[in-house]
Formats: sequence, C-alpha cells, structure tokens
Amino acid sequence: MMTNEASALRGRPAALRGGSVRIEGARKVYGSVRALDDVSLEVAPGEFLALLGPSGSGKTTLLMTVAGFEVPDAGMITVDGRDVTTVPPNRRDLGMVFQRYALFPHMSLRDNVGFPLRMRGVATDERAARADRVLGVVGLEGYGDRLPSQLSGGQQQRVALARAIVYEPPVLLMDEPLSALDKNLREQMRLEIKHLQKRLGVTVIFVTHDQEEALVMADRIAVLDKGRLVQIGAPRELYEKPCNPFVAGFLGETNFLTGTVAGRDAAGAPALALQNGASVAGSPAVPLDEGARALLSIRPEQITLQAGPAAAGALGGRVAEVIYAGASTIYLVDVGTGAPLNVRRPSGAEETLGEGTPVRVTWRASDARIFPAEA
Amino acid sequence: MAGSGKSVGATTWPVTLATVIVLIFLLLPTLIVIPVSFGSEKYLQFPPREWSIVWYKAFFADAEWLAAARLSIAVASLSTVLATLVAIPATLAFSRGRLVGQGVARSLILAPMILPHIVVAVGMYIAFSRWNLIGTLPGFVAAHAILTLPFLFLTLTAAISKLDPSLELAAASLGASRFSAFRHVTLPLLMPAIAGGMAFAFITSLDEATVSNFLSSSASKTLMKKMFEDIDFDVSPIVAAVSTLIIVGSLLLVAAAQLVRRLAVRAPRPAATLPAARTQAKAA
Repeated sequence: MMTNEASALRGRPAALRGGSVRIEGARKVYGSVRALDDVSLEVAPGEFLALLGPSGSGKTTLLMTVAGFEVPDAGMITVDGRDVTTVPPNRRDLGMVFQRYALFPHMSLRDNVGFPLRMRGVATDERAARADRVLGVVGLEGYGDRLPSQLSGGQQQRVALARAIVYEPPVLLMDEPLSALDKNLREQMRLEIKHLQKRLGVTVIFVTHDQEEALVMADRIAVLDKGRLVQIGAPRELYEKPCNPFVAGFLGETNFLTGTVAGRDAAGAPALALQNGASVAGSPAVPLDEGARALLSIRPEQITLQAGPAAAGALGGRVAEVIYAGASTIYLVDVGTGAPLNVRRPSGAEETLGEGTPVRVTWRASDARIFPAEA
Repeated sequence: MAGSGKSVGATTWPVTLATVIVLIFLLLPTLIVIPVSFGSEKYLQFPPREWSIVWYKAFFADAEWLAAARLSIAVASLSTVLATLVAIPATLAFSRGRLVGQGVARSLILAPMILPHIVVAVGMYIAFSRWNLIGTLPGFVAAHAILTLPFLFLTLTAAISKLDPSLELAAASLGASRFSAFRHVTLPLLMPAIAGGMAFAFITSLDEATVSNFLSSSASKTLMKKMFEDIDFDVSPIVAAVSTLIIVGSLLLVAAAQLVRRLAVRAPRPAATLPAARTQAKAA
C-alpha cells in the first residue's frame, strides 16, 4: 500500500504547500450555551493541529467556523492572511473529511474524487486521471469504477481523504474521521494519515475527543473545554506540564491528591501537606501562597513503589490490588487519602509486590504538578 | 409479483400460501374486467361466450371516449409535473430550513388527503365557477395538482429524511454552490422517490372521480366522469375495455418507476476516456 502511494506521488510536480490559519477572538452563542468563548489560535503552514475536548467543548463548532458552515458571532478567521470569516464554504477552497465520510453514494469512486475538480471546471479526461492518481496515493489504485457501498469503512475513509486532497487545498479539516472505525484499523489509519500529511505538506486541523489519537498524530494539541481554549502546545508539553487539573485529567491518566501548600521539602521543592499527615513534593503550575488549598497531579507511570514502611512525614501505603495488563502492571495503593493511588510499572522489569505489602510511595518533584484548588 | 417469487425460498410454505390467497382475493375482482372486456355481447358477461376485440375498436372509434381519455391523460401529466415542481422545493424548505408557520403550511399541504374528497370538490366547485375554471384544462390541472401534492410531499419528505445531511455539507466544502449541490447530489439521490411519487400522483389523478365530477362540463369531462355516465345510462363493455387499458397503463407506469429506482441504485457510468488518461498520468 505504501509503495503504491509513493510511486503515485513521484508523478507529482511538488508537494502541497500548507496554508496558515489564524483564529482571533472567535465567539459563538447558541441560546444560553457559549459554544465558543473568545478562542484565538494560530496554525502554522504544514502543521498538524488537533482540537481536543469532551463533547460540548466547542471543538467541532470551531472546526465548522473554519470550514464556513458556522459564522462566529464575533471574531475573525483568516486563511493565508485572507479574511474568510463570512465567506461561504464552497469559496474557501479548504478540504474537509467528515465523521461518516459523506461519500456520494450514487457516484463511482472516480466521480466522488473528481467531484471537487468538476466544481472547478476541470475537463473530464484530466479529472479522471487526477482522481485515479489520488486514489493511488491513498492505496486504492484501480478502484475507480466501484461504488462507495462496495467498500469497507477504512476504504471509504481513504476515498474521503482522496476527495479532500485531490484539488490540493492548503488546509485540510477533519472532523473525528476515525471514530467510526474499529480499534485496530483506527490505530493503523492514525499513522497513515500522519505520514500522508507529512509527505503532502498540507496543514491539518483535526477534531477528536480521543486523547491518545491527539497525542500520536498532532504536532500541537489545543485542548478546549466549555467553549474556551484551555491550553495549546506540543503533545509532550501538554502531557508533562498541563496548565490545570482539567488538562491533566483529560490527557492521559493521572492521580489527584488534595492538601495545603506547606513550605518546601528537604530538597527545596515546594511541598504539599496531605490530610493523612504526609508531605509530598511537586512543582506548582502557578506561584502559590503557603497555606493555600491545592491539588497535586501525578501520572501513574511516574510513581515509584518500594517495599517497606514509610518514614514519618513521607507517603506510605499498602498495595490494595494488583492488575496485570500485559506490558505493564497496575497497582492500586491505599495511602489513606480516599481513592487509592493508581501506579503503573513495567511488567517483569521489577519485583512484583503482592497485595497487602506495605510500600513507600515516592516521585520526583518535577514530575508532579501542583494546581490551586478550584473554588 | 416477480420480486415475491424470488423470496419464496426464504419463507416457509404456509406463509407463501397465505400470501398467494390474499393476493388472489385482492386482485381477482379487479382482473375480472379483463376477460369481460374481450366479450362480444352488448352487455357485461362473464365468462364471455365468444372472444373479440370489438369493444376496444368501439372505444377507439368513439370521439367522445377519446376526448375524455385525452383530457384525463393531459390533466394527469400536467398536474403531476406541476405538483412535483411545487413538492421538491417545498420538501427541501421544510426539511432543511427553519420556516415560520411550518406546522400550518404542512397541514394545508396535507389537507386534500385528509378531508373527504366531496368536501374538497364542493369547495373547489364554488371557487372555480366564480373564476370560470369549470370544464377547463387549467381548472382540472390546478385541482388535481392540489390533490396529488400530499402524496409527492410525503414520499419526498421520507426520502429526504433518509439522506445524510453531511452529503450536502461535503458538496459545499468541495466547492459546490447550493444549486450545484442540489443538482449533482441531492436531486439524483431523490430521483427514485421522485419517480415513484410521480407515478403515484399520475395514477391518483387519472383515477380521481369526485372532484372531476364537479369540475367537468358537458363538453369537457374526464375519463372517470365519462365512465360513471356510461355506467349510469347504458352499461356497455366499453367500460370494461377502458378499465383494462387503465390497469395495463398503471402497471407499465409502476414498472417504469421501478426501473428508474433500479437504475438510480446502479448509477455510475464509467468514463470512456479513462484507459488513455491513466497511461498518460503514469507517463507524466
């Protein structure tokens, strides 16, 4: 499949040139719901940006304002410097892949892929040739005469992709394009879309509610919640330095511990006094006053467990449950603060701690994030 | 019938038997006019003692019968086209747009189907006589378009509700104007429903007797009005011959609509220029 794509691509004069997108102060209100609340962001040429958030976060509304299906109540959208805020979708010249592919069921794949060329007045012969070439790019060479109903979900997805890139749009918009596929195919398509995007150089804005998808595919992730842009940055930055508990909890798994800010620990890192009397270290996301209520977030794989009782003032607990999950093993550790801590360790690499074992619980201060507790 | 024959293997024989009995019960009283129409006596006779096509010849030789048939076909064709031209935009507006007074408008469109035809007929008679439309082609066409509109409206509404709205969005994102999206995407996908609805509307108009009875004049009457008159005054087997012709015509029409449906499902026409284009692309 990949070799087909590569050979078909060699016939192309140049890769697509990615466009830039700029969203400034976009607002959209439906009745009493703020779908978009003053969202501003920029997408660089050739960048892969994921819009990530739970349902109702405004990520799809934001994509639809870029596509032209929604006009923001306030704010401006520009593509390559051109103000397109009120330009109708058919004159924006952007590519779009829909959640359920939206292939035209009465047209062959060739006619589906050729449709945007037909709308642009490209002659029949050239249209067919270009449609066939792009079908080759997505690994469907020789499928031109088939109907969409004769294809599997993954193949329909590829046709939708081919149709959206055949006219070489500067920006490709994708609305949860993988959500209708089963798990294995979804994981395979993630990398295929990513590779294709890199080769074509097209700018992609990709809506998803799947944090893993966003982490794997995107150059940068914009996390939205309740219509607001919460944080935008590289996947690693967001995962390791979330700006608030929502991002920490939404992107990957994490443990939350509540306490009060209590000076610094022995190593000079800010410490948090927990309800159970133990003191734990972390790095504050924002400067915090001593005595303030705070929330600490620590990832399951960044916690170290050692058998043995904890020293006074350090965090200790008892293994409540051991869950073998293949590559890793999950330990639920009761530390006396309510919900047990979720700890993930590589299977086999370390000694197994049996249920009921007393353990010392530690982590590096730089791995834990301390946020002000929300009112 | 041909379709049910194929599925017999999938059902058990008691179901098949019951289906056949019900079909016979439904069809036999209708089909009995066919042998009757081929009789030679001057009255309706079953089974006919002698076979002939004398009553068909009589029909095609009678100017009054032919005029009625011509009027009915003209009225059915024109009113079907008119109702379709109204139904397509109306359905699109109702299902895609947000209109003020949508519920009231919908009720008005469907009213002719719900109200007793005699009520509609009396109302139309009073209005049309004031406008001098009694016994005129525009009068019949307007009346029948109103009567057949509900059937087209309901068929098309059902078909549109099954269409994925993102198809139109996709067309727009790919550069199609609203009209292009309608012409290349929505309309072809609605074609089977339009064909079916039109066939149904045509037959409904042809078959309509109550309103036609009120709107006909002595000089200008539809086939149904003429048949009723004929039955009243002098029962000749011409009525049976006309009935047979109508049955055959209706069946052909339904078959044609079915054909459109099949063709629409199979749609794509391969681009003739393709092999050459493909080699060129490889060479380049």
